[in-house]
Amino acid sequence: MLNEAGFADVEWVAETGFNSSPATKGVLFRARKSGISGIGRVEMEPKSALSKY
Amino acid sequence: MEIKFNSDERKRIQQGIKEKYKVVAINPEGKFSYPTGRAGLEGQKYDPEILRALPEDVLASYCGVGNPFSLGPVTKGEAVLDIGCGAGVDMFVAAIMVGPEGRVIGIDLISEMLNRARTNLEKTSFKNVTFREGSPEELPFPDRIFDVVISNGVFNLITDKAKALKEVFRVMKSSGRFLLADQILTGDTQADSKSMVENWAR
Repeated sequence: MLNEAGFADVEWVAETGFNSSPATKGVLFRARKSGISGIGRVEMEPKSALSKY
Repeated sequence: MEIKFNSDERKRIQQGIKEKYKVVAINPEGKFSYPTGRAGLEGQKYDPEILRALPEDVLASYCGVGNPFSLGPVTKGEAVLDIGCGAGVDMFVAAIMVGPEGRVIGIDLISEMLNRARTNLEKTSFKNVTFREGSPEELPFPDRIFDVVISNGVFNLITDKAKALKEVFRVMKSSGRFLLADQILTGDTQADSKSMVENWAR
C-alpha cells in the first residue's frame, strides 16, 4: 500500500512488541518519497510555507 | 486488501474512535494491552535524555505502539508532521530534535486529544509546536512542505488508508521520510462488516 501511494525504499524494519490484540502486531515501517517524484518541482521553504499553521 | 465501508459505517467507526480516545485523552493507563506513559516510552527505547527534558505528567499521556524515532534521525531545522498526534508526546520529542529553528505540526481528529495536547504544550517551553484538528484523509496543508512525517498507532484506525497515504506522500518534500509505527493484522480478516465496524477502535 505504501508503494502504491508512491513511496520508495519501503522497509518493514521491526516488530515493536506492543500488540493491541492476539490478531495484531506492532510494527515499524520506514519509507521515503522518491527524489524522482520531485524533479522539476520547486520545494517550498518550510519556514514561510508553514508560517500560517 | 483494504475493506470498503459505506458512509454510515465510516461514521460509526469514527464515532467509536472518538468515544474511545476522548477517554484516553484523560488518562491512557489501562486502556491498552501494552504499557502506556513513561513505561511505554521506556519500553520502546525512547532517548532517556529527551524523556528527562519533558514533564512527567506529559509523558504519562503517551499511548503509542512503537518508537518512530528509532527508524532514523530527525535533524535540526526540519519540518515534521505528526499524523494522529494525540496528546502530543511524539511531537515534543520531535521538537527537541529539530530545535527552535525547526517546526512540528500535529493533526488529530479528536478534539479532546488536541485539548490534552494543548494542555501538555503549556507545560513546556516549545514555541515551534502547533496542532490542527483534521482528518489524515484530507490533510490541510499544501504540497511538499514536510521533511518528515511520523505516525504512531493511528493508520490502523483510518478507514481509507490508501487515501491517507497519498496525502502523506503529497505533503512530503521530494526527499521526505515517513516513519511509521503501527498495528497490522496478522490473522484472518473474515469477520463480517458489522463486527468490524463495532470493533474497529478496540
